[in-house]
Parts: sequence; C-alpha cells; structure tokens
Amino acid sequence: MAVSVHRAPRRPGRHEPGATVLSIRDVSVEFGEKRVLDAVDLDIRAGEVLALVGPNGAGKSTLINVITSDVDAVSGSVTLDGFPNHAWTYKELAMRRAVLLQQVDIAFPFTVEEVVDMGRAPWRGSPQARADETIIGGALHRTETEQFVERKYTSLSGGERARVALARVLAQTSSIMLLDEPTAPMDIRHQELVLGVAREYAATGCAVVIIVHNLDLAGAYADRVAMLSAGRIVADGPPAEVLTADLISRVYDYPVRILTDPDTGAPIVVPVRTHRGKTAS
Amino acid sequence: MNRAATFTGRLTAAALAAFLGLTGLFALTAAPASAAPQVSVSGQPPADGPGELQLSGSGFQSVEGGFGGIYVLFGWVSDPQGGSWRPSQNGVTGRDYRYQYDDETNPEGYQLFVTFPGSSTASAANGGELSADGTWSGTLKTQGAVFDTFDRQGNRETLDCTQVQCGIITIGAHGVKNANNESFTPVDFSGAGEAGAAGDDGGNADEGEAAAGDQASEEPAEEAPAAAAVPETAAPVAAPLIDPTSLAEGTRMFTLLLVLLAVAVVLGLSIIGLSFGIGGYLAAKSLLLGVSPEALERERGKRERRAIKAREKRKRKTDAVRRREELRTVRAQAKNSSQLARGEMEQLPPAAESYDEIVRFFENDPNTPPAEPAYPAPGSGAGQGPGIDPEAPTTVQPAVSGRRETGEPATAVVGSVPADPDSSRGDQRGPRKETP
Repeated sequence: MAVSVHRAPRRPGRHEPGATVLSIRDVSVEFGEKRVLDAVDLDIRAGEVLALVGPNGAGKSTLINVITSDVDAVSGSVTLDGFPNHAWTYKELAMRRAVLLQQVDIAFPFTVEEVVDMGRAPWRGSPQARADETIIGGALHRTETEQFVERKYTSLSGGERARVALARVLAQTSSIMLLDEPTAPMDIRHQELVLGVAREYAATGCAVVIIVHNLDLAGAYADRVAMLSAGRIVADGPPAEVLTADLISRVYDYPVRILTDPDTGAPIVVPVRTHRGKTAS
Repeated sequence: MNRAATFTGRLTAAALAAFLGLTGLFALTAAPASAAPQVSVSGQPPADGPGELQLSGSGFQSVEGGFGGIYVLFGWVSDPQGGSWRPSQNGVTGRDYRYQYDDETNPEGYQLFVTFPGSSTASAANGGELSADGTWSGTLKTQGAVFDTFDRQGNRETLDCTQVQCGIITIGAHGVKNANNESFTPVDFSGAGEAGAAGDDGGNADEGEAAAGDQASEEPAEEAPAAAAVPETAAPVAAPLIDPTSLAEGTRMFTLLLVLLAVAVVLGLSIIGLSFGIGGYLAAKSLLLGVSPEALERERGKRERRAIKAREKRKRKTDAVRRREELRTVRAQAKNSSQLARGEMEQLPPAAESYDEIVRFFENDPNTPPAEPAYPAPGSGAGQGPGIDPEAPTTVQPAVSGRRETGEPATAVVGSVPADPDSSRGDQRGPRKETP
C-alpha cells in the first residue's frame, strides 16, 4: 500500500457570519526609513464588506500586501483562520484569500475563459473542482463579461479587463476577497455592478475587503469602513459613523460636506467647491 | 603615282594588322591553359638609344578596388627559369632583379604602373587599367641596351643588356607581392646579338613572342623618339618607386612624436598654472581669515555642517544595518512560530466544509429571482448535513434536472456525479482523485 507523503491541503470550513477570519495585530511596516504602516489593528469578519479608504499614500495597498505576505512586517502578526499566515501552505492560502490588484495586465494572449479558469487553480484535485463549470460561467455572467468569453484578454479595454480579473477572483471562491480599487477604470453602471457583486458574495459567508477612492460607493455598499491616514487607522466602524465631514476634511485635507442619499440613507460626500465669478445660489 | 603609293601603304598596313592579329592569336593559343601572366611585346628596342615597346598583357590577376596593380619594368632578372628572383620568392631589387629607373614625381614612361580598377592610387597609373579579364596594354619607353639601375638604398649599378638577357618584368605594385602577376618576358635589342641564357621563366612559355618581336621590327608603326640622349640619371631624390610604404611609416612616426610633444607641453603648462592658482587661493583664504571675523564664522559654519552631514550618513548606515538585522530576526521568529502552529494545526480534524452557498451564488441569475431553491442539498437525505463530508465516498446520483428553472441538467452538482459521465461537460476527473 502506497504511503502518501504529501498531505492534502486543508480546505477552509464554513464561518459564522461575523466571525473573525483574518486579524491584523499591531502590524508595522517600514520601507527603508519611512514608516508606512504604524501599529495597525484590523479585523476582517465573515459576511461583511469592509471598505478601506484613505488618501493616496496612506498605506492601503501596503496593508493588503501585508495580508498577502508580499511585504514583511517589522513587528506585529497576521492571523488567518486562527493560525499565523506563515503556517499555511500556498494552496491553503489561495483557498482562503484571493487578491485583485490594481494592475490587471497579463503578458500572454490568453482567452477570457482561460483567465477566469486560472482562478480555479487551488481547487484542482478537490471535490469542489466539480463545480468548476458552474462557477466559471456564473462568474462571467455576474461580471457581465460573457460576451467576451472567446476573446483574447489583451484585446479588451481597461474596464473590461478589470471585470474579467474580478471574475477570476470570484472564481477562486476564497473565504476572503481582497479588491484593490476594482472600480477605478469602470463606468457608473459597472461600478454599481461590482459593488453589488461584492455584497452578494459576502452574503454567502465570505469576507470582502475593498479599497475604494469613491467614498460614496463605500458609504452605499460597505458594512464597515476603515479609514487610513499616514499609516494609522484613524476610524473603524459603520459608514455613518466614519464618513463624517469633520474626519474626511481633516484626513483628506480638503473641505467636504455630507449629504444623505434619499433612497438608502447612505452618506454622500460632496467636496466644497467655490467657483469664482458664480454667485452662490 | 601617289595613288599607287597610298595603295601599297594601305596594303602593308592591312598585312601588318593581319599578321599582328595572327601572332596575337598564336600567343594566346601557345599559352598554357592556366592563368599564367603573359606579356606580348611588339617591336624591338634599339640598342644604342631610346626606344618604345608596345606591350599587351593577358592572364594577369585583376582585383577590383584592390590596392595598387602591377608595375611593368624593363630590366634583368637573376633566375628567369627558376623564378627565384620574384618578390613572392623573397627576391629583392638590386640583387635579384634590376630595371630602368624612372622619376617617381615626373615619370617619363620607363616604368609602367597598371592599376587595378577602382584602386586608391589609380590616378598615378600611366599604364592604364588592369581589366577584369586580366588584360592590359601600354607603351614602355626604353633607354637603350646599357642603362643605370638603382636598388632600394639608392646604389647605382649599370646594366648591360648585351651581356645579360633583359626583358619585360612585371611584379605587384606598391610592394604587394603577388605571384600571379610576376613574369619575365625576354626582349632582344635590335642591332645587338642574343645575350645570356634563353629568356623564359616558368610563368611565360610563349616562344612565339620572340619571333613576333623580330618580325615586327619591319613595321613602320614604331616611332623613334626625337630625343636621343638617355635621360640624365641623376641621383634619385626620393626612394625608388617601389617604397612608398616605408616613407609613409616614417612620416607617421614623426607626426605621432610631434603630437605627443605638444600634449606634454600643454599638460606641463596646465599643471604649473593649476598649482599657482591653488596656492594663491589658499594664501588669500588664510589671509582673509586672519583679517575678517565674518569669514571666520562662515568657515566655522561650513565645517559644522560638514560634520553634521557625516554624522547623519553614519547614522543612516547603522540604521539600515539594524533594520536588516531586525527583519532577519522577525523572519526567523515567524518561521519558528509557524512551524509550531502548523504542528498544532495538523492535530485538529479537518474543518466542516460548506460549498453549496458559494456555488449557489454562481448559479443564481441575479436578474431572475429563483422561484424555489434551484439547488437542493446533495444527497437529499436527512442523514447528511448541509456540508459534504469529504471522507465519504461519492455517491452517483441521477441529474436533478427537473427542479431547475432552466431545465438544464445540473452537471456541476457538488458531491454527485451524473450517471452518464459523457454528458457532463468537462467533468473528466474520476471521483475523489486527490492529485498529489
């Protein structure tokens, strides 16, 4: 009887909504002399959409990189599913967290279907692989990229590529989905689409962390908002609490006003613009 | 009367032309099959004064754009049959072959330079071009049977062609040795007896040449040059025609030395000037410091700033080293703790999985709300929980097609395999195959 020396990867289990799937404790990151993240504490919970906001250079992308172990923290710990990041193998990590970075370029002319299929890679050989077809088809359908299925990825526009990349990340069906500015190249319709997909995905029991610049989107779709400024978390809570004119004006160094969405009651952030020569109405 | 004379003249000319053509043909046919250089000589030079020879060469090697060409000379070779006189056999002028002198700066035609087509020195060619088919032609002037020759060092020696066999010498021009263009064609003077050994060397097997030379003396085509005197053989002002390379060499060396000297002078001057300038500046500075308190302050400030900068630099370096060390220890600690954690992890039982909700997310069409749950729990039994038990063997179940809105067979129902594996798209894997 053959003895298998290679253990099968431990597949993630189901999480109760609200349970912490990933926790960052006292993490500091330094690039040379510059302290990019300073004693950051953050919890990522299942079933929740967490919006990470902050001005340019605040450290949002670095935080994502810390979660994915792409940069080393000089202090602090990242705990995933109850165990430190380094305790998991790559395949196990891939089943638990999926990342969509800002750069969505692919060097080779793969077709869209092949690209989305790449997301299923960690599940090869597992029982979950049976659902590959459904999942790929569903991901394409949800991101409205079905019509591109046979086209080469490199022939798509920026917004289309972003949606296909999102489909790939969705197809990875990981417990935590990290999206770094997924809506940057997209138009209004697709921005709403993406955020809606993120919400529904979180509703299945997964956690979604999304970096957005558009504070209105954060306010409308996120369950929780964490605001970063100069490497520190300055606010962490429901959108209504975090998106206040006071805090935003201070952190972004620009005066803003908060209005309320008539349909949903979500906060809408409006920069204060005083145009010369026009009389204020 | 006139008419008859003209007619006779024309007849003679025609006969001559025909005869020349024949001899030419004979010359060609008598030649060996290889491309050995041959020179056909028409006319016999007079022994007692200047003369002219019409020469035509064939079988020579022409190099398009090559350097130089061939020299056609009149003189003597030491070993016509063996060929040891040749430059390609290390023969040297003066010792192995000697020839008529010609003024390099103002040549009179006692030496011919036949140039390669397109050559760099083509402008100096007084013997025309060596065409691609290896032929050339020209007129060579002779100085009589006795004339002066010079070797490379400029030593003069008289050559008496009544005592030795003289003839047409061809060699590669400008010092370029080329055995394919070296030849010696013996020529006899009219009014003098045959002298020396039979003329031909290896590359020139044409007996008919001599005959042609004898016969052609009848023709009136030869013109006796007006000037009877052999050209004054003054001591050569420059080296013989064959040595331009060594001259160029000398000139180059001289120019190089001159340039070096100039550079050295400039360098020396600049060093002197620089030292004066620096010395002067330092002197002025110390003078100023001794006199003005502001200058003193400024100097002190500058020194302080420099010290601060050096300190900062040192600090940055030590900081960087410290950071690297910290990172290394952090990484090592992380590795240790992760190994411990992994050990703990392995003790735990595998987590209870639930993939259905996720699959449902992908199945549901967001635009049409499902009337009823399209996706029943797999196994459809009360016994099994909502999640699949990965350890249990897979059950083969019929496709639950009836319950889906779209009517498609649920080909990707997790935990069950459709009865007919061929109908499922892409479901090629067998049950529970864990690929290592």
